[in-house]
Amino acid sequence: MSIALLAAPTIFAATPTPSPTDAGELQTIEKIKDMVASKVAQLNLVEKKGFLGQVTDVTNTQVKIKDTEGENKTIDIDELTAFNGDSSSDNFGISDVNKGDTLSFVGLYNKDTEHLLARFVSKAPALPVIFEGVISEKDAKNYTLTVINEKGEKKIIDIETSTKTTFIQRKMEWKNLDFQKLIRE
Amino acid sequence: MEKSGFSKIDPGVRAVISGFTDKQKADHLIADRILVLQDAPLSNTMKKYAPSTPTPTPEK
Repeated sequence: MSIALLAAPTIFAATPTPSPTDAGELQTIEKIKDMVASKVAQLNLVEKKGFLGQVTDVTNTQVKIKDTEGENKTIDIDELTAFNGDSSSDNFGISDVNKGDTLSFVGLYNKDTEHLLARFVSKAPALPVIFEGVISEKDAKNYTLTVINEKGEKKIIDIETSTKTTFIQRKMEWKNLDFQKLIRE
Repeated sequence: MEKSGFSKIDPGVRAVISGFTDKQKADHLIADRILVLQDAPLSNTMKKYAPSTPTPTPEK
């Protein structure tokens, strides 16, 4: 009988989670809760984003640009912002930024203030242009097209060897199904 | 969608061009990409500038 008692395993009762009773402990928990909530809110408010545009105004801590869609954007500069100039300018910085410069910015965009805190600033050679219209003329000798848009603005399109041309045809889908052939027959 | 060259582009069709403005000639656009919308209808304004009879693209 005594041997059986000795061989029985020792069982400990599970320790219950202590409930915070102390007022100081409760206050600390509330503080941590607030910190977590504010951090979550901050993470939702800030996102990584990039802008490309022409400088309209510049100060030591802020740059205002007009982007490709004609919208005004504000970019904040701080001591951690890195500047990358072109090959001709090694020490490119905020003091070298002038009105009319074309720059690209990558950083943290605050949805609330609608400001971008720039992490990287680079000189961009030119802004891309998107032009839509009807092809009115084709110059096969000079490899140019004349395109006129909805507003009547005319642009001469220079075709380079690097230019990529793509055709979009609704018929192509039918072609695959031999629908054209079916109609003809 | 079909990749193509300059020779297959016909006047009278709608196109979207992305590129960069020529620094020497303001009315010139150096094309990077051209998207020819073969079957997209033209607006009334565009119809005025389109040649009367567009040359049809030869089918393969």
